[in-house]
Amino acid sequence: MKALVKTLVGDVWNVSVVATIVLGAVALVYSGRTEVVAFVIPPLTLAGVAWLARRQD
Amino acid sequence: MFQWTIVIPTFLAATVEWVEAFTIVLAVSLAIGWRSALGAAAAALLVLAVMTAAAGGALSHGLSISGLQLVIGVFLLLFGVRWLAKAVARQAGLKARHNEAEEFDEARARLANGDWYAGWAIAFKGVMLEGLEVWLIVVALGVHGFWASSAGAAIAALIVVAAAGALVRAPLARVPENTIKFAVGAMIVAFGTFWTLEALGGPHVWPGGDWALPGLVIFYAGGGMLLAALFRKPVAMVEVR
Repeated sequence: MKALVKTLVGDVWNVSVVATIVLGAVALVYSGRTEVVAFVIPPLTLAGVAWLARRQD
Repeated sequence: MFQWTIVIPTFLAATVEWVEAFTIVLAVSLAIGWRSALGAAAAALLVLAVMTAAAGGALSHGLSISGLQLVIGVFLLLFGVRWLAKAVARQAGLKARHNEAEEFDEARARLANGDWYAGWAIAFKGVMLEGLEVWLIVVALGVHGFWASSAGAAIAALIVVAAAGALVRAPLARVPENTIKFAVGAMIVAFGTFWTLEALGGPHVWPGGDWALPGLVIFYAGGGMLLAALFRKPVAMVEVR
């Protein structure tokens, strides 16, 4: 079961990174800043990738 | 008609996963025979095919378009971010590269006592877990009406890997897994970001509309390569006299 969940969503750190990205996008969209969301979320996602990559150490 | 933006990432991702599944089936076949190992693999593939059909039907009818885009976008992010991070870490030398020969030896060691049921279960579970990642990509990329492209690409990858494996009869260690994972990770994260933001804010959030998608792929692939270069561990200098 643990292997199945890990295959589908990854570990807790992976879920935390994606949750931060999605919450960031929701916050920007619902505060009316839709014009900046396309420029904020991709760098935030790449920062999450960098953090996860460093954790593989 | 085939949609190449769907076919390419699905084919590449499926190839990587099928190679891993093939390695496990190959190791198991040496303990319990080809027929039994292939039977376990076929059973797992059948379950995956049923899951694909069921998920496709449920997703196509149960949710609004933006709800569907959000669910699929988040799933692609969960999947792609993980793949890209691992590829960056492997490229930078922070994580050992995946070794098919090692995995093959491990599976053989687990089966040293020749237990038929254990062998069958290992082959089934191996194909099922590797296949689940293929299933996720097939469902996520096929859901907008591109089922033929996504499922067809996954089946084509399965045929190519099975044919190459049957010819070589050894772990397919020469497949450049990390390079493929790098490229696919960037593509999957790009799709995930694109659909998640479009679902939340509408189509106008992306300047340039659909043209933002290739831009995102380039951004993540380039950014990933930059991160790998930044994180690269210095190679120990050996003094030569």
